Amino acid sequence: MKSKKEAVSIRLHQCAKSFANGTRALQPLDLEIHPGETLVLLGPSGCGKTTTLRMIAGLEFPDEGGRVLFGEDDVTALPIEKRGVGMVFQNYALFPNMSVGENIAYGMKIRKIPAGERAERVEKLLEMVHLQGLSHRRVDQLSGGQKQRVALARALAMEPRVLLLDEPLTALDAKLREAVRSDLNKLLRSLGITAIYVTHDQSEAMALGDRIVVMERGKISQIGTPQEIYYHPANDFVADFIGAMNRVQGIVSGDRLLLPNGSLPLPDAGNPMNAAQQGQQAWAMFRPEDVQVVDITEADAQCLRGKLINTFFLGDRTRFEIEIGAERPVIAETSRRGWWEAGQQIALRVPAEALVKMAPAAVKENA
Amino acid sequence: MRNRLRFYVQLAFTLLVCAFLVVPVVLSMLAGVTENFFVGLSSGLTLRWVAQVWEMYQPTIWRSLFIALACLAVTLVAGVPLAYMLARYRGGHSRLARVIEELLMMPVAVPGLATALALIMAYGQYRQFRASILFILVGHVLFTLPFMVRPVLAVMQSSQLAQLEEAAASLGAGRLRRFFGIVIPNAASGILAGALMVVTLSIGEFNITWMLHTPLTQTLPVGLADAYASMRLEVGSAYTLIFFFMIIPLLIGMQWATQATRKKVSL
Repeated sequence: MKSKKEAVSIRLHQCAKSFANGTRALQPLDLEIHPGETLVLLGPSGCGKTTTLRMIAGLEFPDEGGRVLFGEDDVTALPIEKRGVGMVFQNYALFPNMSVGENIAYGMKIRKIPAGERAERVEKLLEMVHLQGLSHRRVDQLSGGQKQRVALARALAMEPRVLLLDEPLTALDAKLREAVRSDLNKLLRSLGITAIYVTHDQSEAMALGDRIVVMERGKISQIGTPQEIYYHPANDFVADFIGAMNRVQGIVSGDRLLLPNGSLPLPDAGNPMNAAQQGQQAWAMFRPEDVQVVDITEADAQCLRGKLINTFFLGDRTRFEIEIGAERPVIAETSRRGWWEAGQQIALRVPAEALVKMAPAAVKENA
Repeated sequence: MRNRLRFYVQLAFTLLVCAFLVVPVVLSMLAGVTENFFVGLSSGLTLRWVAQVWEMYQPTIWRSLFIALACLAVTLVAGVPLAYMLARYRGGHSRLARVIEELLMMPVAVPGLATALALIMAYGQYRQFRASILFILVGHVLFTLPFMVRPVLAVMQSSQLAQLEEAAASLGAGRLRRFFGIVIPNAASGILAGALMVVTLSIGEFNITWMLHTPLTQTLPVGLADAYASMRLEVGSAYTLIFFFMIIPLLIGMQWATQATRKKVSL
């Protein structure tokens, strides 16, 4: 089922959206989606990600002045049925009055593709989503995972220029979600179709996105590859939203950040991450998995000392909350096997290269 | 022991209430087949009165059925698209849509006699129209339309149906195609519920019809009033009996159809 058409790029130009009651769902937004890439719109509910997707779909229209382009075509004024997009919804949106096969063939029937060819393509599409032989099933006889596969096959049946996915895995339970996600990933890579995927789940975004757009309150916070977003968050919101993040405040002294119970090494003065001035208060952020947990007996001058206040055994790893005399406890994770108890003294080591971001304390954004 | 006692007391009370409601119906039906109701059942049972009613009032029965079906057709053709428009106009958040919905309910709230009077004042001078069965039909449609629109609107406002429509649109279906291929089949439960109400209400409608009718456009309930007023009690009761036999299979049939679609289309 390789798409014969060339993948298309999508551009949003100054697309804003205000609703009838005057609230602004989306600030004017520019976004370019490369041909064939999978772009994930990620953010908490109400951040504008779904509105953005619906604007690309043609289910919502941007306020005056906004433009939506598919390749060189200006599709701003076209309704969804004229845009040639495939869409997958959170609640499947399969037609209950039709069988699985009729659902998949719906778009082909509208385009007047002959019945013989329709049946052939339905079989191929069912094969693609691993549902061979289910063509005559009624929709309500399918499991959630099967329903979403049918919805995907239906969306891809007309070889759309763009595939739009609105939280397609949210309604599935955890185990199924992973299986469908893996299939979806393979499918998107092999089709080479331009796809836009909306989710509030950051692990889904990481796994599926070529690039991720993190959105907050109707604005884009950051655009980048999953690695860029994870390791170089552009601001506090992104840092907090993606994964867990530790944040400590101290005084810059030489190549170290001094804290009440020890110190952290800082990157070289030339490193762009090192934005702090000597002798000033500064924030440092680092990920829990980058913290090395050290027995208190082996602690040296490079370590931070603290008291273990909580341990969570997660199976493949153990998570700690460690009180270090700062505003918030530090969270650390280790895959080492061992026995730790709340209340015991413990030491941490954070490598200089693990520092995600530093900022002078004065310009600290909302925590 | 006490539980048991309570059960029997409750049962007795329930039966008493049921009897209170059912006895008049049974009495009325019995009266229709009794030789002389004032003498009692001892006077013997007969189908004479039923036959007499059938002979005298047969046209009113057919007319009532015809009007009910015509009324159903009109409310379907007008009410279902109207409900669709009310549900979709401006994304379903329009004040105008709500005002229209309320206005539709007016003929239900206003006494039927007033509605009928208004119709006569407005259209009475068109003699042909005034004397035709169409005039009755207009009154019935006015009265029953909200009972079609309400349940259909409720289904059409469901977010699932809106999303089904979006899915169909994404596959290239235009508005007409979506309406007939997706909206109507998936709103079938609401449409059937509405149809059930419309037919039942139209067949039993008295107030408006009594005001609007001419001797040549009598319906069953108007004929019934006529029979009770001017003939033996047994004749009127036989008439009621026929009414029951007419409406009960209709009700059961439509109830069954509603359940069948609910099972098939579980939105």
